[in-house]
Amino acid sequence: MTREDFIMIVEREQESLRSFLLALCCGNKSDADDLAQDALVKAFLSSADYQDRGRFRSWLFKIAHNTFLNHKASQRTTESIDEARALVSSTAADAPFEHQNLYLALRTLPPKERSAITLFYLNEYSIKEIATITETSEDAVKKQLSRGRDKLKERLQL
Amino acid sequence: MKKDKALEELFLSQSPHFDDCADFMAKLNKRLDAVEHTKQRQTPTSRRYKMAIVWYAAAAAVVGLLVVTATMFVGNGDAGQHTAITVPASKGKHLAEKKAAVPHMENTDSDLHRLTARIESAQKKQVPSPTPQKSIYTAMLPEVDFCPGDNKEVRLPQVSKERSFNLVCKVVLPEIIACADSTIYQSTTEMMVACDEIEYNDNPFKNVSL
Repeated sequence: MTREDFIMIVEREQESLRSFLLALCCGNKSDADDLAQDALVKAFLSSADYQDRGRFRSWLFKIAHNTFLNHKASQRTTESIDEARALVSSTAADAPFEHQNLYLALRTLPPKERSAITLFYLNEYSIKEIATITETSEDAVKKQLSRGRDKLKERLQL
Repeated sequence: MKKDKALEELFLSQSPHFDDCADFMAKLNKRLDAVEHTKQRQTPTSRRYKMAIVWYAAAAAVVGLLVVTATMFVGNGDAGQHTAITVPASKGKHLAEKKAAVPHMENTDSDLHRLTARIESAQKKQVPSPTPQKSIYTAMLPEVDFCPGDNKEVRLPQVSKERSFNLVCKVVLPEIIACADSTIYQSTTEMMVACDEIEYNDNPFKNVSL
């Protein structure tokens, strides 16, 4: 895959990739864009080995998901919703996003549940595709979705 | 698994829209330029590094080969010296046992065979004791090694004249001869001649067996 081909595909997919990472970063746009850039550079460097052209989007999401998990592992996790609220309100980049309640609720989920919920509801992936992207079994994805859904509904009072 | 309607609607309604796509792509292009530049600089360096590793490996192999060859050459040179050393049979056995116990001694195979052959031939050449084992004279003799170097005075038992002859000529003398030492060769030869003369001329008991 040449650089031109890569750029062409990325232009088409970048918006969904960025929204996925924005949800994973709970509305922190600068973090989400940094992670998106990192993921795209990684994808470009390994694009020579990429074979299955039909699933480029899933492959890109897989790299983005792993990049997010690595980033998350290197950061201090914020467990309580009050801490999350304080962090989000202090971030200027979150101001343009109206839907902070959803991001705040997402922040309380563990990273894997957050990924599964975001891929399922925001990016509209099937359970099988989510299992491929997150490198887990379909049963594990189902459990993550079930737990995540219950927690989100409780937090958002739906 | 069915989607939760409320959650689905919430996510779809809150899907973000990005108006900075051009900036994002410009940033990405800059980063890709930097990555390609680094990659181009790294490629010849890594190639040189790989070549250096290959050369070092080849040089190490050649040096190793030379060392092994030299060691083998020196080992063969030493083999001649080893064969010149006379090792007693018991030590030969120990060497064989050690060889069996230590697997890395394969190189000493030829040496060991030569050594074993020498020991066997030496054992064959060894003069068997002419004295019968259950002889009364053997029983009378003190347990003394007659070979030179002991510097011990051997007192023979007091016996009759004919027994004294048999004791000296047929027991003591063969023991001394068995030492096969050149320093006592002359005296033993004289003793043998004397004994033969006595036996064949004057000994009245020459038919008495020991």
